[in-house]
Amino acid sequence: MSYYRSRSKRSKRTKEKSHPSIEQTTKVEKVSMALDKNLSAIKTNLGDSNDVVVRRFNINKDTKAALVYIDGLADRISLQDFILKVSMSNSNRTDQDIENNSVSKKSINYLKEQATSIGEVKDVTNFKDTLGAILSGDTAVLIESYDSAIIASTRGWEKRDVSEPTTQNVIRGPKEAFTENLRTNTSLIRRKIKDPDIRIESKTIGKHTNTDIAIVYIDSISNKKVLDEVRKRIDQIDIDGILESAYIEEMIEDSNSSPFPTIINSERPDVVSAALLEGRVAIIIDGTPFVLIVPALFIHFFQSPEDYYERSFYGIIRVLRYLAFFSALLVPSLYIAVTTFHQEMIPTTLLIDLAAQREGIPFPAYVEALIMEVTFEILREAGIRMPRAIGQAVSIVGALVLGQAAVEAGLVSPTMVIVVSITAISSFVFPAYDMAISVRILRFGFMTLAATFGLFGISIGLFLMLLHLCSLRSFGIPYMSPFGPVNFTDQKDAVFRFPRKLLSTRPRLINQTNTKRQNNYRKKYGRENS
Amino acid sequence: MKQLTKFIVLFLIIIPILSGCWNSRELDDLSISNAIGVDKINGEYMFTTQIINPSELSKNVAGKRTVITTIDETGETIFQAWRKLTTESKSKLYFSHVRVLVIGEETAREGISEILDVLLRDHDFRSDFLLVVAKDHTANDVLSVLTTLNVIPGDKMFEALTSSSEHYGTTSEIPLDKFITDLMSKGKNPITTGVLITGKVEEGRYTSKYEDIKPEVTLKYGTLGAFKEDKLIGWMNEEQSRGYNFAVGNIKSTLLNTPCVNNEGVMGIEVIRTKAKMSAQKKMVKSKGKFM
Repeated sequence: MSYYRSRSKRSKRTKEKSHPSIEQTTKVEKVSMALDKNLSAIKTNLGDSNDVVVRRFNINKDTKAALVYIDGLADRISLQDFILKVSMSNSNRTDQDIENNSVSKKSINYLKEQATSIGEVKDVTNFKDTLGAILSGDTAVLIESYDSAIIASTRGWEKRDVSEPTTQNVIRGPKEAFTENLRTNTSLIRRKIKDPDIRIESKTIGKHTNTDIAIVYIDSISNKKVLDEVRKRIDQIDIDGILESAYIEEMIEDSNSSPFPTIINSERPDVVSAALLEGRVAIIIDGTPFVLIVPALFIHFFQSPEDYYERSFYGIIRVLRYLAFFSALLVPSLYIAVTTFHQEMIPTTLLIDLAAQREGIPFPAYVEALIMEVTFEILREAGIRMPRAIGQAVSIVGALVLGQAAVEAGLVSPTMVIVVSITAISSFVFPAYDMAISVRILRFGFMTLAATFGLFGISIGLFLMLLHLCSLRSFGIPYMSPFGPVNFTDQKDAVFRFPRKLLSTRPRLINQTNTKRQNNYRKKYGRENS
Repeated sequence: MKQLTKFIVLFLIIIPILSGCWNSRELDDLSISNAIGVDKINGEYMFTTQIINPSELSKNVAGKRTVITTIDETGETIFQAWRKLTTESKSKLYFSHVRVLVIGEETAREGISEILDVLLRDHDFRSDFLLVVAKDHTANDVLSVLTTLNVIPGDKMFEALTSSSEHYGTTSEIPLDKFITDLMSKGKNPITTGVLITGKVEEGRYTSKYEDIKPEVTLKYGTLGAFKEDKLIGWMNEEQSRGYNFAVGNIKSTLLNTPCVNNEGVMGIEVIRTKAKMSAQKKMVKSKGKFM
């Protein structure tokens, strides 16, 4: 794969020439004793940006100090409170302090204590970390002749409230979704799982964006091998910026060339919590409501939270999604194959109808299908991206022009419209949008195979796809389990969702140490009553 | 990875070359044959077939033409005859949807093994269509008659034979492969059902004749015809046909009449279940020192 090789070379080259980041611009390494020196260093680093606020004040009588924060990132209320507390320390000064005319350790401790209303306060000696803290919304207090900055956690910027999920809806189930704020997101998980074992590991990625990410897992349940793998892969990331979880996903996923996703994302805290309880690991990225869950197996893309929130009979509905997977993937190709190669398979009356519809249509079935499928994909893209005000216009064009007019003009046959509709509807059935994307892409491949080799081509394609799926792994776990390596006990939550009394163990491949979920409550309950 | 790339590139190159030159056929290019008939006239074979006009059958076109077109050709071999039909049809005939094979009575009396041989061996045909003999007519006559109730004669003949053999029992649906199995098995001779034309054949050709509530020309099933090896040797009557079907276990349901007590009227009995068992016995009969 020469393409990949050249790409990796290029990335090496850019690494050498890469843009100055905090590490490179910061010549000053330590916070110095001199306040002015510190302030000028901050100014050279942050430039003349007018949202950087430097506020000088005095502690005691003569001790100069300064607050540095970024307007808009720091919470004004806690900031004012903090300043008030700091200035109050002036009146509480001791005589000894005045005599010494310098900042004693005691008064700095006093400052920190007074600042408890803020929440978190820490000393930072490293200049780089100070800058980093300021950029994330914290306030730095620099004091003359004190060689470290006091970082007060005043993070509080404009953020969206927790709202209903917009992409992963359910009829019954929690109606809250993650937001763009990392802390809100971790709190939403903590609210669901009040377990001391829950661990939230923080990392900062992105040379320029300095994006906070958090690896969340339950210590006593999670698979340590997967966890180590996650840490290892995340540590290897070297990129200028992370703007969405997809950046991370693409860089840590097992195979970039596979059409199938090996990491699942969710904007629902309940889904993430359920994954954590299964022993999986979640990666929360600041700035996006979509949380990554690893490992993600084939079956996970067909599990809807609703399967567990309705009574177990609803678990049968999951079969529909597998059915929809195949219909979204294969209906156009099967139609092409059967009508151009295997007409003997169609019942006579249907064949006559189909033949009558096709009379006068200028293109072969393959081209016809291709036209319709591509047009539909264009419509779908337009539907996502168009301004809301012209939404109606697009749907009218889509429904009338593409549906009716194309048939009446004799460009496509009515059956083809049905075929495309079935495909389209089926591809919206998956709870995970990622799987729908891979199916959309693979569909065209299958259509080409069907047009060239008929059903033979489709079966070859399916065979290759199955081989590929079986060779995939998601963070070390076989992608097709529990079908790939067959595991009978895990079938309870694969094609069907079995009644809860049977869901007594965690998936075996994901979790091997702590497998028990529940005792058989049902049995006991029944005996007592009879 | 390098090999995989090569493979994919090769595959992509092959695809456009292959497309279209294999046996892919678009639906509108098919001449769907629904019924075929074979006659032997003066030593030459006459191959008759009914081709469906799909556009006449579709609901939104009110055409005045017939839904099927019957075409025939003669040739020294059946194969030649049906290939010659391409001079008349719009494309090569498509035989996978053939429902019935009609054979003229005269031809049947002369022997049909050669005809069946061709049809069984050729890959264009399936072997699941029903075999009937046109009683007192040629196959060409039968295929030149339109039908009512189901406007596709092939389908009509297929459905009528299936239902009559299921509910009345004087006919028998014999697919080609069953006929040939019967023909080939030792000690067994095939049978098949006769198809009758009531009325004048010439009048059955026009759609206008079928505007009548009681069309003058119809196709109708008669009784079983008995073969000796591949030659038709005669027709059974209704009672014999039913008797034969009882004996071989073909009856699914039928109606039997029996006189009531004191011979006052006749009672009809519906047979809903039958069971037949055929066993061969070799008996030694003493008849003046000779074995029978």
